[in-house]
Parts: sequence; C-alpha cells; structure tokens
Amino acid sequence: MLDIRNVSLSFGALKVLNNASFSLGKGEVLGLIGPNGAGKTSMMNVITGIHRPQTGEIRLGGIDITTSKPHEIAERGLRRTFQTSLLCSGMSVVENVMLGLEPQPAYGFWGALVGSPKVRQWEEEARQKSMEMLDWMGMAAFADRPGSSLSFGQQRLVEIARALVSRPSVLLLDEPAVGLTAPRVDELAEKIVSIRTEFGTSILLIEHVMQLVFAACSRVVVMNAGEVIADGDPKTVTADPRVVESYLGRGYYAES
Amino acid sequence: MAVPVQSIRSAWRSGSWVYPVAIAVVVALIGMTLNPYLLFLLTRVVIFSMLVAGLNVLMGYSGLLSFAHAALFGIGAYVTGLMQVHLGVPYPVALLTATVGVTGAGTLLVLPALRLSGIHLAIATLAVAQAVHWVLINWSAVTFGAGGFRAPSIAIFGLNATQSIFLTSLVLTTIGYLMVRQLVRTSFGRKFVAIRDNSVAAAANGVNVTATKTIAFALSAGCAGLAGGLYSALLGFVAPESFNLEQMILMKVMAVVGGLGTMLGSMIGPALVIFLQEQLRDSQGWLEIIFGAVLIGFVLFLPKGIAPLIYRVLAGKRTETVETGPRTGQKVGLSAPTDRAVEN
Repeated sequence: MLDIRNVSLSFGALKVLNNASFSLGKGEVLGLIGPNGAGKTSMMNVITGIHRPQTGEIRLGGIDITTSKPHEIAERGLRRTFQTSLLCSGMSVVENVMLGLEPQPAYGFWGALVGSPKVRQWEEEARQKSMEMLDWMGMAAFADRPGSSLSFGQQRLVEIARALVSRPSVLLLDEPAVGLTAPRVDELAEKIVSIRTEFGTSILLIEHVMQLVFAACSRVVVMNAGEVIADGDPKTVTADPRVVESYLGRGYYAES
Repeated sequence: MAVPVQSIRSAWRSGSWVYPVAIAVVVALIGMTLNPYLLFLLTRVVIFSMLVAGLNVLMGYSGLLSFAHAALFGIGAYVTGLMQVHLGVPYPVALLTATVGVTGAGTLLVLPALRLSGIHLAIATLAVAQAVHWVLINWSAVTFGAGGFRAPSIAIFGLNATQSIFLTSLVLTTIGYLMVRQLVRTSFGRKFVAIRDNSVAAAANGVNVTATKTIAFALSAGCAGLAGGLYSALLGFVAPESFNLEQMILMKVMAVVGGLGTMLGSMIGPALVIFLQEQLRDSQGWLEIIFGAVLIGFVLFLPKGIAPLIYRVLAGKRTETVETGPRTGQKVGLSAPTDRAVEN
C-alpha cells in the first residue's frame, strides 16, 4: 500500500533520514518506534509531502508521490494526525471534522457564492458523515464545542476522526497516545484495530507507549539516527540487541 | 416578546437573507429623507461596507495581511472613471469592467506574493500598493497625474446624483454582502479559517493552501474594485490621494473596530469610523489625537470589535456565538478568534 524506498533527508549538514526503506501492507497496522531524534516524524513529514527527500522514492498504491504536494497526497487517500494536536481553534469540533471532507465538494465557487441547492445538500451530508464519525470515536457530545475547548487527549481523538472521515486508504498516526490515561490507551488500541477491520485502512503508528504498540501493531519498524535498524513482529524486534541498546534499554525486559 | 426575539436569533443564526434585506430597505428609506451631506456620508458607509466585507474575508477569515487594498480600491475608481472619460463607456459597463478587471489584476499582482504569509506577505502587498500609487501619479497621459480628474456622476429613476449612487451602492453592497456571507458559511469558509489557524494541518487534510489564498484574495480584490467604482461616482472627482496608505490604514481600522472575521462587523466598522471622523472634523488639531485615543481604547478594552457584543445579545446568553457555518439551522462555531463560540 505504501512503499518507502531508500529515502534520505538532510537539513544542511544534519542528516535526519539515511537511506531508510520499509513498506506498509494493505490493511496492516505498522508501528514505527525509536528514540527521540530517530527521524520518525521526519519520515512522516516526507511521506505526507511536507518535506521533499533528497533521494529515494515513496509510492502510495503503486503511484509515485515523492514530489507530490501535501494536499495532493491527502486527496489520494493518505491522511495523518500530528504530534501536537492541530485542530482549528476558530471552528467547532464537527466543523473541524468536516474539514476532512473538503477537497472536492459537489459545488464550486459560484455555487457557494449564490447558495445553490447543492450547497445545502452537501453541507448537510458532510455534517451527517462527520457526526457519525464523531459518534464512532465517542466524541459526538462535543460536536458543537470549539476545538480549542477540549482537553489534549480529546483533541487527539477529534483529529483522528477528521483524518478518518474521508475513509482514507492509509492513515498515519503520530503519537496518538500522548495525553491519554492508561485505560484510554487501551481504548485507543481497540479503536485502531477497529479502524483496520471496519474501514480496511492501513495504519502507520508512531508511538513511544509500548502498551499501545503491542496491542495494535502486527509489525514494528525501528529507526535510530535516521536509519531503519529493525523490521519484524513486535516480540522479535523488541528482543533485537540493537533495539534494546538504542531505544528500549537493558532494563526493559527486567521491568516487563 | 420572547417569541419574536427567539425567531430573530434563529433567523440570524440560520443565515436568512430576510434580515439583511430588511435592514437595507430601512436604510434606503432613511437615506432618501436625508440632506445631501448626510446622504453622502451614509453612501460612504455603504461603499466601505462592501470593501471591508472583502477585506474581512482576507484578514479576518483567512488571516492574510494585505496592504494592497487601497490601491485596488483606487484601480477600481480609476478604471471606472477613466473608461467613461476617455472611451465614453456607460457607467454600468465601466463598473462591471473595473470589478472584473481588479479581481483579475489584483490576483495576478499578488500571485507571486501568495507563497508568503504574515509580515512578508504584508510587505510584498505594500510594494504593490506603492507601485500602483506611483503609476497613478506619474502616468499623467492616462490618469491625469497627481491633480486627478472629474468623474461623471450617475442619475437613475429621475433622482439626483447622490441619491442615485446611494441606491446603486446599497443594492450592490447588499447583494455582495449576502454572497460573501453565503460563501464563508460553506466549505470555502472552513478552508479560509483552516489556512489561517494552521496551514500545515489544512494541507494534510487536502486543502490546497495556495488556491484557497488566491480565492480569498480574488474575492476581496473584487469587492475593492466594485467599491472603488462606486466611490468614483460618489466623489465625482478621482485623485491618487484618496487611495494612499493612510486610506489603507483607515480600512484596516474599520475591519478591526467592527470585528475581524465577522460579516456584521463589516457594516459596523465603517459606520463607526466614518461617524467618528465627521464628529471630530470640527476639532481641528485634536482630530488625530482623539481619533488615535479612541482606537487605542478599542485595542485595549474591546479588541474583538463591536460585532461580538451584538452576537452575544442575539445569542441571548453569555456566549460569543457566531453568524457563520452551514445553513443547517444547527448551532455553529465557524468564526474568527474574535467571536468563536465559547462555552460558559
């Protein structure tokens, strides 16, 4: 579904991605883990077109998106959330979710300007779809509140709803468990699995909370210093000496 | 009493066109009873409402800071007036040409600048404004230079010139206001707010940021062009000094005083600023100081402008509700930071 091949990215002398390669299969939930500064978020920014890699290739469903712009990639069915919640503070929760449906409304500029009947119909359908998605995420009660009035954890859930409402083929989640309590992390893990089973969405999950990674992911890729150092099922990868050395630490198994 | 108030609130929230049109009819009736001087002032308010509504889409909804609008306003006035003077074109044709021309020219002029944002965009548009002002002064063969030129007045239905341009301005401004208000309640409005609040998140959700900025700028340029064309007929005399940087600042003050990101503020701002200007005209020497003090007072004590206060009254509770959002009759929240819905 998503293929990253030999991708490198530098900011001046700083090499943040170094010949990194991995792939995300159709309907798979893949964890991307590693220490801070490993290049995980940079990888996500490269995949979504925010940064353009100096070398390498990214393919989405077989189509080269390496040089595509962020909105073009989103229109092709790849959506993401951010490490810090980026809800629009000037819109209500449901309007934030409706934004996920915006790229191609059935009416054009002139239709919007004169208020054609299509406008009302599309807006009502978009609101309905967004409410259903909020309901699915357990956030329908907050629909009319401004996005900025929610707690950090609630904003993360709304952000996931916004990314999901257009039924993307690929969803990238950047540390969605930040700000969630342990029981909410378990609920989130169930949701992530449900996203895969109910919508058939492939998911790339960046996460430090290993509880979530183990619960949701069938495969894990580990990055360190811009390179992919391990790729496999969670148990095998977390037992890899390089992963223990660079990320988990020797006390990881003693504690778990 | 409770029923009418509730229905007014409900109609206002749902975006009904009835109330703006009713207000326009009342303004028209009042205007036709005023003496020429007061009617001139009222017409200025109406014309600037059109301009500020467009500026609000750009500044309030989309968060784009532009200093080019006095220049675009000026191009609209010059094109309308000069087409009549040089080519003998009828006023409606000249006005339509100016509106379409300024929309296109304004968009082309700032297209390179649309890759910018914040203060950099402001500086780029300031450069455009200064260049236009230079052309208006120095291209004397066409523009009549710094001295300006006399623009033809208009007459409709046997009314005098001021009454004619007043009614024309009121009708066009009402239509323009309803169209712009309708637009910001659709997905376009959400895109404007999204690029203002966070352009990275907007793009990640499929919003074409450059295209959205272009639409916002084209729309506001069109409003400025139309307002300029109306203004030339109102003044009867077009000169570069009517469209300089001082006028640009005045336009921004109108938008801020009325309430950034609120369509209602687009009407209130011009009315208040023009009223203050006229009230302080007798206080020569103190005019700028008093005007400045009033503005500082607004910034300090009412930074969100007047419109949010009115929304509170219309909402009937301690919330800063909004007028934007799709017309589904449901509670909505799309707005600028100045009047976002706040749960209390």
